[in-house]
Parts: sequence; C-alpha cells; structure tokens
Amino acid sequence: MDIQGGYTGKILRVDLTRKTSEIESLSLDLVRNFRGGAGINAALAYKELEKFGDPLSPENKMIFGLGPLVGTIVPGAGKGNLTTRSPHRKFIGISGHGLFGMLKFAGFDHLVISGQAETPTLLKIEDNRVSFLDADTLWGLDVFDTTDRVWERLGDRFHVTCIGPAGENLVRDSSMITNKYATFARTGTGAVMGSKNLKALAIHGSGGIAVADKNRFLKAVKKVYQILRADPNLLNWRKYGTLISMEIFSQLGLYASKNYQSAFHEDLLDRFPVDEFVDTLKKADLACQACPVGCKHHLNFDSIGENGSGLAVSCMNSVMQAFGNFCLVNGWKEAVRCAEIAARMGLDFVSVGSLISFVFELYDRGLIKDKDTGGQPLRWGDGKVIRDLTRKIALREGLGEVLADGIEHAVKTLGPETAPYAMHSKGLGILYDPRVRLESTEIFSQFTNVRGYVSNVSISMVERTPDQIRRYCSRIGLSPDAIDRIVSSDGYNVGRLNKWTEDVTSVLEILGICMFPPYQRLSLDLWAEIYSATTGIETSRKDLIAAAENMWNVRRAYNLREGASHLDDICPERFFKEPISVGSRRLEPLDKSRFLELVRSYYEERGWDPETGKPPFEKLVGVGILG
Amino acid sequence: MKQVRVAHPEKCSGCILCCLVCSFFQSSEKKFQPSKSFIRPYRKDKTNRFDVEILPDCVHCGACVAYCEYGVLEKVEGSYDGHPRRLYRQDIKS
Repeated sequence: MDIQGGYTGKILRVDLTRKTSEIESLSLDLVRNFRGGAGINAALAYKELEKFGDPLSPENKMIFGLGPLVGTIVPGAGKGNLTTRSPHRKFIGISGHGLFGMLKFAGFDHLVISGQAETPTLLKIEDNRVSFLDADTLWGLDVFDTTDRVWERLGDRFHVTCIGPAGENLVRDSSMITNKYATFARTGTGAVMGSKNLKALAIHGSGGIAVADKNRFLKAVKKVYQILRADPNLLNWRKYGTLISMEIFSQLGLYASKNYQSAFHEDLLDRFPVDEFVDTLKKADLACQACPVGCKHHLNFDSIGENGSGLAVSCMNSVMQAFGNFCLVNGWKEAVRCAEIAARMGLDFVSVGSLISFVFELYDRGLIKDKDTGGQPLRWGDGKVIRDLTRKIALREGLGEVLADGIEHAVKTLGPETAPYAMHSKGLGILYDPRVRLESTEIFSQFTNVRGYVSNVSISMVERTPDQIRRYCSRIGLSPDAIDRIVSSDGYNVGRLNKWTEDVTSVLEILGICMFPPYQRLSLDLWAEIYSATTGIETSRKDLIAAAENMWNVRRAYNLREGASHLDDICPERFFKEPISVGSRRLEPLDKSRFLELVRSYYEERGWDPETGKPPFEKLVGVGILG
Repeated sequence: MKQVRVAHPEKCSGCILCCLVCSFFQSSEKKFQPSKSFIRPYRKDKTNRFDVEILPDCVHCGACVAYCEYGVLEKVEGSYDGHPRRLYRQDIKS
C-alpha cells in the first residue's frame, strides 16, 4: 500500500505533563483497516486508553483525527473527530465538528494529547512547532472571551478550541468549542480538557494536501458538485440549517416536551415560527470547512438586547429542542438567550436542556423542594430560571452542583425515586421520543449507539413504504439477501436497517465528510472513487463499509471491556409504561419484548452475538486490535 | 480582460473553498494549501463574519468564482485599481 495523497502521514503526540511533543508516522496497518479519522481514532483509543482508567486523570488521552479527504475541495470535507475516555462512565467518548481541519494544514492527520499540565495552559501548534503557553489569565473566562483573548495574543489566523468555566469545573456535560461555535459536544469532552489544565488549543498550519491523481479527482468531485447543485433543497438546507425538517417533524409529533411527558404537535410552529427565525434573527450563513451547504447561522443578536453580539450557532434544532421543547421557553429570542449562556459557559445544549427539564419535573412532583433550589420556584418556560440554572451547573453552585456530574449521578444524589424521570441513554440526554417513531434509525439508535444519542439521520426519520426502504438499501449496495432480511412486504426491521445507515454515516465520518443528509445521499461508489483518486489506494464501496464495520466492532469492544453490556442498550422505563398524545392521536407505550427483539436484530445484522452484542474475537484479531 | 471581483463580501460563509481551489490550480505543487492562495477571507472583529481579500498576485483565472457557492465572487470585465483588497463596483467598466 502506497499513500500518494489525502493523508499527511503523521500523528502529533503532545504530553502536557512533560511539555514535550513528538511526531510519528501513521501506520499503514491502521490505514488499511480503518482508513482514517474516526476509524483510526477508535483503534488508537482501544489500544492506548488505559483499561478502567479514570477519564479525568492524566492517563486519559484526547485523540483528534481528520479523515483523508479533509483539506481538499471535496464538498463537506471538514469533519474532525475527537475520541476519548468519556466522563460518562464506561462508554467511549466520541464527538465531531467541521472546523478542525487546520490540523491537516499544520501537517497532521491525528493529534493525541496526554498528561496534565501543572498550570493552566494554552497549547499552540503552528505547523510542526508546539508551544506550551501560560493561560493563567484565561482561566475563569467564558468561551467567547477566551477565544477573543487568544486571537488578540496570537492573531485570528489561529483556530481556537477552548473550554469555558464548565470544562474547568469538570462538569460532565461540558464541551470544547472551536472559534466560538463549532462544538465537540456530548460525552463531556470539555471536562477531559479541563482535567488536563488545558484551557485552549490554538492551531495554524501553512502546509498543503496533495491528491494522487489530479484529473481523476477533479472528475469525481465535479460529479458531487453537479449532484449537490441539482438538489432543489440546497438553498433551504442553507437557509434553515437543521430546522429544515421542523414542519414535518412537528406534524409527526417528534418533538418531545416537558421531559417526555407530552409532545408538541403543529402548535410548535406557532411558538417557533421558522420564517421568523430567518427574517429577524438570522444575519448570515456560516459554513464548516469546504462546505457548499452552509447550514450554520450567524445571528443578529444585538437586536434582542442581550450583552454580547455576533453569536453564531451550529445547530438551531438543538437550541430549540433543548430550551424551547424540553424546558418550554417560548420563542426564538428566549431560546437563543439561554443558548448564549450555555455556549459561553461551554455546556452541551441538549444535555443541559435534559438536566433542567428533569429537575423541573421533579419539582412538579415534589421530589425537589424549594429548600433544594435556594428558594427559587422551578417554573416551566421561565427563561431567567433556566439561564440561572445553566450558570449554576457550569459553576457547580447550589442545585447546579447536583447536576454537574451528569444525570445518572444526579439520580444517585437525589434518590432512587427520581430515576424514572431521568430520560437518558448511557448518561446522555436523548433527543426524540421512541413511542412516536421507533421505526426511525436515528431514534432507535439513541439506545444502541455506543455513546448514547448520536445524530444518525436517515431516510427513515419520516414514514417510508417498504418499497422506498428497498430502493434505499439497493442504492447503498446491499445484497438481495440483506435487503430481504431488512424489508418485508408490510414493513422493515429498524434494528437491521440501523446497522446499514450507521455504516453509511460512518464511512463519511471516517473520510472526514459531514453526515448532513445531502452528503449521505451520495453513493458509496462515488465516495470510493474519490478516496481512490485522492489517496492512490484503490478502494471499493465494500472496502469502505468494511472500515466502518471495523470501527463499530472496536468501539463496541471498548465499551464491553470497560464494563458496559447489552443491558445498557435500553430505553428509559417511561417509554415502556406511559402512553403519549400527539394532537388527537394517543400512542401506546412501547412493547419491551419487541424493543429487545429489535436490539437483538441489530446485533445480529452487525455480526455480533445476538444475546450479548459481543463482536466475534476473530473480527478484532483481524484488524490488529486483539491477539 | 475579465477580472475576479468581491461583489458581496457579506455573503462569505468562511468555507475557504476559494482558497483551496486557488492554491491548487495556481501552485506548481498542485496542493490544497490556503497559505498559498491569492484570495483570502479574513475574520471581522473577532466574529464569524468575514471579508474577502484578493491579493495583488491574483491572475484572475476565476477558479474561486466557480467554486464559491455563496455568491460572494464575480468575474466581470473591469480594471484593477491597485487597491490591495478588492475591486469596487465603481471601478468596473461597463
């Protein structure tokens, strides 16, 4: 195997304890088995993260990875992956965003940060020069102010990834945020960074990325642009971003409310008129690296009279869901005010919304009293209370201290009687109600995914006929046998389908492409052609799927090694016990035995033991993980 | 001769596709290398808004225009006024 382009071929390792760095070559075995980005990161995490280690100890590592297409003009090729030991117990920590590509121009496919700095540190990486700068004056500042100070000090050509007070205080639902908006969210990445006394990471690179076969590359990329430009929805994807499906999702009742006690229907569109967002709040489009879609938003935040201007938001759907749907804040401006506080503090929107709606319900039920809240009544939709609680979580004050170690820990503190109201999967707040549409792979995978909820949008988010699913399976290249396993004359098995939609999105994750639907719809044959032209490594669709499967096997093996089991792949009990109404429709609780049967189908489709979900030993030996 | 013009800098999304194609087509190394690009978006006032600068060495090949999906750039008949940042609307000859 000879790499001629795409990859830089180097891993930068930084030890914060010793203040040293070294550069090593990327192993060809890793490239062969995992291809790149998130795939190679999974293998490095399995091999290098100490068994049963403390996620907040110096031994934990932050492993960043960029796929082989990042740095090129392939549309959407900006996605970076971060894999680490999650502060959420035994589950692998995985996150990603589209603005970490500067690392490639600095000359590296991967960056592995280990150790713990003695004092607050700003890590500066400029090409292959690594500096450990003092960050005493940054400690305590919020994400926006920290970023501004680093830009003032080093210049705004640097991409700055930092934590806010939440990460410093080791809050389990804290995030790392790049350039004030692109977020390594979920799985407590901010706490890991904080535990290392690493306040900020500033990267600038002047190098370049080569491609193996220029003409072949340009021909394949041209095809992608032709398909994207012909997409009648391209401009709507840009205009609305992740709110594009809001109308249909509302009609379906997919937006949960009040901690999954109820669901919004079309009434949500009155509370959050999507065109009002575009007309009054949105100021400009914002894009990740190399993305012609541009689904992010720069907001006209001055107009709503809060301090701080120039707020940029990656995912407006999560802002609306976390604060509007879960906590009942009314209208865009109030939701954005809450999001601004969470962003400045460096907190995960969805997790914070889940935590706050959890305690709101406990308060309603008398399981939390005024003495627990410092005398503050917890009223649904009270933006001031929500912002105050958000700050308190970040600063570990009052009730915030109870919530700062995550929802599972909060249950331990507040008592077992609160457990039925903790709506999470593997410690992470979930986003969609499975009673409304378990047939969606995104909704189903909230419970089987290795980290808890992950955005795995696919065509099954809305109702589909068996024929439509059959055509989708055929398009991604499934064999007739596999299609017959998944689709029958009257429906489809979401557990089995989920394996394949995960693999499709994971191929993108590995290559460094955004998983947004316009990119998912491109054929795997086309991605294989682009990969081959870029790297010079002849690769087929099947090879890419194999890399995705290898990645899933390793991530699963990591969780099992750390003590997770099939018992963790389960819904909160509320979904098995309580019905829910969507408009005039009453939806019954889920049938637990049917749910567990779907989980077994998912394991089986992955080639794992159908009862335990354990990947076969030989699959891990074959890729150099075991043996 | 047609020249590249920054017509709508306010529409720049910061995707840097213009820099990537410029460096690839203009450099002898044929690499995607923003640092060697003759067009540069730069950050405005520590926000995620951008302005766009066309450097004096630009050969006005138009590759950046072809790959900008946000309508920031145009290729029009005009003369370069020597200003290092951009051609302004009033400088374009009809």
